[in-house]
Amino acid sequence: MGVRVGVDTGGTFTDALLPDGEGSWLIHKCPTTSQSPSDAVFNALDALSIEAPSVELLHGTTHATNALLTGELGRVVMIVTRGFRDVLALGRQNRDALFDLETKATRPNQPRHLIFEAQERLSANGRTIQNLSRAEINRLVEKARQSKPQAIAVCFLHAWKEPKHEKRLGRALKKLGVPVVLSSQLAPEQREYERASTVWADAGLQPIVGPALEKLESLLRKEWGSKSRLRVMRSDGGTCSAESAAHEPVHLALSGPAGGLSASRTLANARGDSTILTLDMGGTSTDVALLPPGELPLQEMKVAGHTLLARGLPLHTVGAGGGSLASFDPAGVLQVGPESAGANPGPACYGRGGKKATVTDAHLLCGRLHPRLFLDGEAPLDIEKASQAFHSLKANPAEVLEIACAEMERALRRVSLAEGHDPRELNLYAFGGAGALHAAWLANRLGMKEVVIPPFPGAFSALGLLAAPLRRGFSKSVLQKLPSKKVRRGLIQPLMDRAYFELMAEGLSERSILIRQVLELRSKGQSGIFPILEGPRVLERFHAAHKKRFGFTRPEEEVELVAVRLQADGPSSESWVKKRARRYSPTAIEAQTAVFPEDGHHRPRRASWYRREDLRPGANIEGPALVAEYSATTVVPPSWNARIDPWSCLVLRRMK
Amino acid sequence: MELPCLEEDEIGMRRQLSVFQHLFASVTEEMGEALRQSSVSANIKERRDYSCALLDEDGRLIAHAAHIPVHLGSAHLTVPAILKKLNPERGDVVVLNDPHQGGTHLNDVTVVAPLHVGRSRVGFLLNRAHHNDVGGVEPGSLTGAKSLKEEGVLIPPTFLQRKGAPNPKIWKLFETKMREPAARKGDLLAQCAALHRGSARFNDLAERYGRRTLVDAMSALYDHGARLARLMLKTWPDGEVTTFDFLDGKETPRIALRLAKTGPRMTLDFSGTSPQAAGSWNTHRAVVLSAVAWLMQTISERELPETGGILEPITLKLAPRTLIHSRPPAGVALGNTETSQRLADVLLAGMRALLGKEIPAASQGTMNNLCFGGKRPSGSEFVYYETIGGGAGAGPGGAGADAVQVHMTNTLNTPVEVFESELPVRIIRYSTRSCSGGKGLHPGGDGVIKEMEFLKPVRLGVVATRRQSSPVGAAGGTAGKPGVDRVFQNGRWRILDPGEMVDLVPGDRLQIQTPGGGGWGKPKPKK
Repeated sequence: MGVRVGVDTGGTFTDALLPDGEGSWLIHKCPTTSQSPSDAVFNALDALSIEAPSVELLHGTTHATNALLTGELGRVVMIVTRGFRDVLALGRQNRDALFDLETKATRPNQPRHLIFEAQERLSANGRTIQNLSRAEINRLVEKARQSKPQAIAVCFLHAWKEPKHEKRLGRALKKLGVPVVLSSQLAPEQREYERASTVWADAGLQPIVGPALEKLESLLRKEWGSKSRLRVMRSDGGTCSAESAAHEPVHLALSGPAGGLSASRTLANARGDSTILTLDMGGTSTDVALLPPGELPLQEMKVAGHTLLARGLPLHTVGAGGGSLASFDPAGVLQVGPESAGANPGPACYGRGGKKATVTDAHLLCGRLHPRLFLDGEAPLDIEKASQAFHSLKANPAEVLEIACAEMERALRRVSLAEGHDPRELNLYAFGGAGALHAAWLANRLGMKEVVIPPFPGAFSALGLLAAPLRRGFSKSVLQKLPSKKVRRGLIQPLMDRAYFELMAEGLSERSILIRQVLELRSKGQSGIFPILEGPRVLERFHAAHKKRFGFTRPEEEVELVAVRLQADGPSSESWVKKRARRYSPTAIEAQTAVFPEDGHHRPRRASWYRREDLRPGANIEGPALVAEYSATTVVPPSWNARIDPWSCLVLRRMK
Repeated sequence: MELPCLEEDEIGMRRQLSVFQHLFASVTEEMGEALRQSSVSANIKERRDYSCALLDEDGRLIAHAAHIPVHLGSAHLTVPAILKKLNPERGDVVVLNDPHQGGTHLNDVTVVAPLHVGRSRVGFLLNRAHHNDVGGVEPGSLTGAKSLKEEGVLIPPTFLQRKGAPNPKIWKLFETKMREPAARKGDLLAQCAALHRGSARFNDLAERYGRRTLVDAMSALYDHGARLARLMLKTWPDGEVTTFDFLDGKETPRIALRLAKTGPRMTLDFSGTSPQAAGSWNTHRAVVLSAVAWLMQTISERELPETGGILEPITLKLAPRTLIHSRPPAGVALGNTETSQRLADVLLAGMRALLGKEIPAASQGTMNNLCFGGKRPSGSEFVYYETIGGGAGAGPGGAGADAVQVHMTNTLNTPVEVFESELPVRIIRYSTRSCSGGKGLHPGGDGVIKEMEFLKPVRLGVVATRRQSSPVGAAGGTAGKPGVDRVFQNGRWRILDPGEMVDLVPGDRLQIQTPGGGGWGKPKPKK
């Protein structure tokens, strides 16, 4: 029988997880090979010594994200409406930062001589003002041909409303034998710059991402037989086949972090948690997200400064991670970040040449990281080097931790309150290499009830890959007064047909497909959009959501249907295994002094160290304590306790 | 495991200052988010023409979530102006737009609520949003006025809400004296909701830290800003320079600056500036302070805390009844846009003289304000306002950016598809303006060309400068091209006079070409 394995490529590490068949997993982390990422993927797979007739590889990839960041995209020809050749160069006319002496504005780097204008024009309601003639189509196809593009992107004004011109040109361009991306098909939403930027990115990614995924799949088949398959994580938290990923690579722009979010939500469903807040803190940055139960609040993405009208999980990135540097500003006030020691050289205690004090060094000096238990001792941490870094800075490590904590508190608040949620009603799911070091502290400051540290927090995205369903998302801008249910059904039906067609092409049976129909509603004139599931009492549920987020309702104003959106899922592949939990007190492996600024002072106190791998469901630990495992360390502050729950999560609560 | 022995840091607030900086910023960010999401008009929700601030009990600026630099310095003057007349208590909200009593221009409607811990008032929250219309003589209330009175409804500091109860008189003003009353009321409601959210957040902090700590932290943050600003000034060479620049128009009003820098202090003497004039070009201290705050932030290599403290080492000399320190009846509607841009230009020119070629060439130096209004077939009114980007100046680091908002504004454009679906206008062309940037080793950024055809009668005005002068180059680079505004009427194109209001009929067109930025460095000779 074939096995399923999850491999997540991150900035520093490539993580692999293999289910052991008994509700747990085998894990391996190895350094990411950024020149040729598939090398690290195979290194990780080799280390797990998989013996099976076939392998299904579930992959979180950074190909698309990196290509957008570095600008190494394919050669694209862009075709736009006459008069709007500079749609990409104009952007939304804003600059990147308010206060840079030299003004910078990030825009898609598309050479102007590869942008052509088409003689065609529609009005805002889709009426033809100037027809796209046969002769004009021939002229454009010829111009495109001469430019030898690797892909072609088309974005006509008002095409989201009326796609006929784009479709006719698209059919004619097909004969050039390169991918053709139409804005009316990929992102049928109002706003021409955002739509143009989306098709530009997708067309530019196709020649890069397609071959890379193809190569990975063929290597996989060479090693584990022709039945082996590659599935890729999408930004919306679902997976798709390598083939369809290569077809619309813009959906992979946030493939990396989506796994952790998707897994958090399915885990929260299993544990019976309602809305949760996630904290994914790694070496260079921290991702925060708010995940309500049921419908995931997918939104447009901003990657490398480019707006993409492809739906992704609602990530908010803060530039603070374990590698953030501590420094004094010229007036002698201690700051953390925004500079980071990055993956290389990394924190001083990694002993790879880093000399500057980081958040990770501060944890080590406060006794919150164990020098020899980190990565099972594969890479011992150097206290001496961390101490030197702090001595030359003349800073107190505990105060560095306090500042890092305040910055993250600000981010968590921004995210939860922007959606009208009081953090006190939420549970915090913390993962990433450093999330569990800060989680209880943050929960304390935000008044949150419970902290959940899932299994393998430092490789949780890889775990998410195994749990994610096959997924497709479709949307259509509508922008009119909320129509009757009958009319809505007419709008949704074509999307339903497409959803079934595409998922069945991936090998799913019609019965196993679950479709959620979402109405994106707003009060007329406002910009805040509320996703409301199609069903009874739509208006009533909309007004309740509006009241919750804004504190008032506007019942006299018209409610507008901005878009209909469909999320089509296959069955979830991995369900969380619930084990029997019997309460017991495990034995500590040792006791050491550590500092817990959570408690309001910096005096060191004795704390017990535990190894997470030793703990069974039911284990109960009282703080102050520290729980080390291969991929992360959890801090249990004084007056907190931690237990392993039936889903093998480490659950932290404040003691009464 | 032994913990290293570290020297105890300086005791007191300074240790935790970064912590409070984040926490206070969080309060203003949350206000901004609430305002953006619940407001009604495109100018606030799409173009984000608003800002939110936390002030201490004396009204000194402590934290600021600003999207608009022209609001940066203006919050300082608001609370002192309120306290001269009113004594806001718990549950009160004050509203104002009087430029000479804590406002900027009439369109910027400001609401302020006091913050209390227990019985004592410890500070204030403020938010300020640009309303599309405030009842001026022309749609948009930015154009056509000859005096402050004609620019719209003037609201001195007044209770909008007293002990939780709304003041119907003010709401009535918004309903009866301004265009698009539903949008005006919706936006004002959103502003109040934002104050409410900010107060709730501040109360949480008060519960966590107590009154004493918060008051100390606010004061320490203010001082910290001042200290950083003084340290920055110390690194600049001492010296005295003079410079000046002009606004467009027949009288070519002049802004003159004598900048004297000694050690950690700087005097900015604007007393040679032209007297205040008819029309709306005048402005006042709040906008000058904003331009200076913008300059300090822009020159600083690391972001300064957004507190009023950064203005502490600056001495400002303004002569009364001049263009930038006007008194009623002088109109001020365009002071926020055009005069503020020119202030930024003059300040940068001063810095160029003091610091040399580190300072980039001049940017477009205008906001290219477009205002028009008319009636839909249904009889309802529409009003439209936007500002248009242009070329940025090149600098030692590289070419100037094309088609961007510069200096005192950073508002977004309205997407063509949104514009055409909401207004009876068709955009014919929206592009960069080739070869409009100045030449140089690093060329200046190009301006923008926007051309539109009207499908219904409108009354329209373009308010812009750098039509008669050019954004200068630096370090040997040449100037960018000036802007041009034209209308197509009765079968021919003609150039609009500065400040001209024009009535257009269906089929007429408007074309705006915005200025290019100056180039930097001597151009390489062509071989």
